[in-house]
Amino acid sequence: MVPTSIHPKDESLIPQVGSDEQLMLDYQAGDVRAFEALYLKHKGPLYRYFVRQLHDQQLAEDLYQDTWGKVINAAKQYQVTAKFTTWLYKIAHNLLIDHVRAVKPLDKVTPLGEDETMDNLQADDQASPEPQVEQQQQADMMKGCIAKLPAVQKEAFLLNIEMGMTAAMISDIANVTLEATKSRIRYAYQSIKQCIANQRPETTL
Amino acid sequence: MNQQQDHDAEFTALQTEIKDAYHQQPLEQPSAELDEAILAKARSGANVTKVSSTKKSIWQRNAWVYSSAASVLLVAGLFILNPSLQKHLGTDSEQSVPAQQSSFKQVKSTSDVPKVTESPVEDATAAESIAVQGLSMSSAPMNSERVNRDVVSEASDNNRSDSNGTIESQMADKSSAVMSAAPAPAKVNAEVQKKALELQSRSHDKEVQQVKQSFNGSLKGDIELDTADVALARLKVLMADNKLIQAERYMITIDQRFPELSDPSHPLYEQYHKIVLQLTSQ
Repeated sequence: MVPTSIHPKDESLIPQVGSDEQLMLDYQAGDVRAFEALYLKHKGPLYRYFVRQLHDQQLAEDLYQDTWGKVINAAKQYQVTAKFTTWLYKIAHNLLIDHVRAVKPLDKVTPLGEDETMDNLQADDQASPEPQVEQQQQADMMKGCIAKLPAVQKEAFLLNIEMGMTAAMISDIANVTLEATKSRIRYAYQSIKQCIANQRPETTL
Repeated sequence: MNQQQDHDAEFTALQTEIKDAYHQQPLEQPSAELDEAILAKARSGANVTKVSSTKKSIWQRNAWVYSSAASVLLVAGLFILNPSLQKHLGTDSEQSVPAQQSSFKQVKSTSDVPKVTESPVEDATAAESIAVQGLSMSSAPMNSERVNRDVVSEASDNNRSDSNGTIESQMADKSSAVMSAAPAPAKVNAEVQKKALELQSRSHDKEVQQVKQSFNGSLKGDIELDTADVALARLKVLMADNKLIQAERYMITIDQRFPELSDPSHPLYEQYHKIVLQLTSQ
């Protein structure tokens, strides 16, 4: 069962023309183009939300598709009581919890404590840079470091960096306290910086 | 405080630095096939939404009407198919209808010889209803059964030897005894007593016999709407109309339903035996 609405943080949440919420209402009224616009806007961040948290590409794509399927199915009962992005990522978060965390630890990564950093972590040997593809090296390095984050920090980091979500929004999606979310975001950024510094001590970001 | 602000500023700088680096890298995108599959689902979902909101089957729109009609049909069908229900319903309605008293008046005017009219049937039914009420009022059915039998037998015996007045008084006494023995509500008791008083006015053997028969029928647990004399009258009519085949069939039915007619001591034995001889000789 997909929650079609969540408790609004902002009582005066009125959909504006062209906003995600308005597009969703238009789709509810039968306008498929509205959904296409909505999809184009959110497909990349949502896709990476799954792909970067899961090592299994197929599973990530399945969950990505399931998320949009639930949005489509719930469109009939959709009501604007919160931001669309909050609703969308809440569905995604719940799917991730249901399909992955209930079965096995996310990413098969030994979880770090929330206060733990990746000082002692080394980058993968395969990630060692080649001189001619420096940009690719940096990208791989970044990916590798993100992948090494603890699951909860990774989710908070991705929501923040991809969608620019505030700690309050992320805490709403992940159903944790605001302080815990702030800590997760802070430690995630610090860990990534340190991870990259460990791989390339001679270069700075 | 300054330390906290420095800390926040430091983190903000770090955040900006990593964000820039993050967005410089090529970011993964879903495949075109995946996009197409989701958009196709969205299109079909939009169609389904439209269809479901506009089209509603006639059954869904008139669910209450159809369910009510089906219920009425079911109840009516049960009454039609189940004759015992009709019988009980008929008996109950006759008991509750005040016009029942007029049937007693009709009985007074009827002659000793049964006629093929509705009045004997009504008469019998009225007598039955009294008997059934008397039984239903009784808390101990077997005791009242015995008393009722006594009432009937005594009444019929006395009828042969004594005058009408004595029969009536005895019937009244016995009836009131039966009624008083039954621990029924006062209202029902009064009604039955009223009917019993009306019954006292009956002075013919036929009436006593009918009550007796109705008692017997009631005691068997089967409320019969027909009596031996009515059946015999019908048989006579069939003979008069020269419907011999039907008469023969009806005779078999009478044999099964009223075996007492084959008893030589029965008052209708002579008439019945004569008709049987006519039918069997042909």
